[in-house]
Amino acid sequence: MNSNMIRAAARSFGADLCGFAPIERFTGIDPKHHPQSIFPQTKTVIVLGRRILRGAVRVVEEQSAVSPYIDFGLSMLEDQFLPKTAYDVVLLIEANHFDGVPIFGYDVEAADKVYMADPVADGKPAPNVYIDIAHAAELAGLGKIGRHGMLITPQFGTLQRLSLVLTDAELTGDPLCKIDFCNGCSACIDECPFALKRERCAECKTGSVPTNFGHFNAIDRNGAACSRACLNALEKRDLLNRHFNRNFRDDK
Amino acid sequence: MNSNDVKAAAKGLGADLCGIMSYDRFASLPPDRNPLTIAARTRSVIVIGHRILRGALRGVEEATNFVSVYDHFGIAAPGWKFLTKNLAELGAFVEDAGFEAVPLRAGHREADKNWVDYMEMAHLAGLGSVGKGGFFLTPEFGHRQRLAMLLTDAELEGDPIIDLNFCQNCDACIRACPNGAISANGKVNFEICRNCQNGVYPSRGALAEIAGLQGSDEVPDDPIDRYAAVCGRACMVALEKHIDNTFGTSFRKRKVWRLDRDGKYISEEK
Repeated sequence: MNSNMIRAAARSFGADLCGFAPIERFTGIDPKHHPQSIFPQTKTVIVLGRRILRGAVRVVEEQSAVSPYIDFGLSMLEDQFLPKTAYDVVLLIEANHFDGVPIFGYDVEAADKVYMADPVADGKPAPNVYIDIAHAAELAGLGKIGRHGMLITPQFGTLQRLSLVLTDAELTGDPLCKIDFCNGCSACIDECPFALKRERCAECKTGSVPTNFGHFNAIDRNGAACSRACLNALEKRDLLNRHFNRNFRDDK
Repeated sequence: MNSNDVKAAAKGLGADLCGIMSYDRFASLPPDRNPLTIAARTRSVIVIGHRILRGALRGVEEATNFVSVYDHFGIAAPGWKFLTKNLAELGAFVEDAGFEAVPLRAGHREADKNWVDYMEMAHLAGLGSVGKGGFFLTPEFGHRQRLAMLLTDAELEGDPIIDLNFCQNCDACIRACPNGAISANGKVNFEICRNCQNGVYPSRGALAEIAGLQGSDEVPDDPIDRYAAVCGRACMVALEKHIDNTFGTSFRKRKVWRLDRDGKYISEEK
């Protein structure tokens, strides 16, 4: 079993993105966000992603609807489609006699604000340990975190959702992404009604979606003005390697 | 990417039905039911469908299981899980070809928003037509399918529109309903249906919670789920010799159970 075999399988299971981060890349990360706090034998963190259809964001862009985005860009993608992909990857890993630990992609910032429990023993971090999934994706070479705090990938810009698999298999890591997506661009700040002051995201009416308690009431922003501005800027600056026949906004 | 490519991809993903509505048919639709109102770039509508297994209606027919058979395999699995996953993956296929794909569930309308009528889209995509009982009927499965749509800016060739005559001289659904909810001209009084005790299920808006989806300002396109109800099953039995999806034996094995609005048992001859 090697990285390329898992990558090919993950694609056949519906993953649009698959990257590998050797555990050494997580050195220095706080134990309350460290993969080895969940699975101490972790040698590799596999980051899986599925795209958010650009069409799912179209309805938000046109202000004609929200529910297609909530369904296909958020709820079903995150709660149904992506877990199935991660589950299938773990089945493959287990069939090769290694351990695979599937991890749901919670918003770590929102999760950190919720008290869950005290540590069960001295030296252990308090449950639940949540891994910063966008940062893990950076370490797995999938893309870079933009000024808005969301992951940007060369394939889909801000339009993807992520899940993790921790494994004790030692797999070759992917090279880190070196693209400077932001490079002086301030489109996300310019289009945000609050100039990207994150504490005001809950007030945003441009396509932000407040999630429920089960998702730590995180504010989803992939369809919001900041994300759509970013997508438009990335297309205009030709920084995406996937091209549509028409740009997301072809009138500006 | 042409219509045949889309259909092959849809079938490959597991869709039982795939029809295409071309741009020339948009003109006949008013703005409040026009795909252009949702996405102005739309040039075609792709409608896909998953069959509802005949076996998924068995528990209701026998009145012995209303949850682990139809609820899971008639509603959640074909409607919320397989169909939506296939729709998303077909959307990815369309977007990989450089076109945009806006995914829409059928029972999926937002309050105070214009929307598309999924049965109208399916009809204009050549999949079938609406019958007297208010069900969308196809030559393949009769009333047994769930549908979803992609709006795309790809210009695709449309399928021929078909007008089925399944309901000609047939009043099976009307006769089956003990509450008189379906009139002779095929108008359904859903207020009566809401109180029906013969196998109706909550609307899909309510089912969002069951499926674990978060609440939204949604109103259902189908006011009530009647596929497994006494009217839906009557339609299925009436059509079983006329559709493509045939079986070795008839669905109906015994007298039909029916309850009136007060829950009192009324029998009907087989």
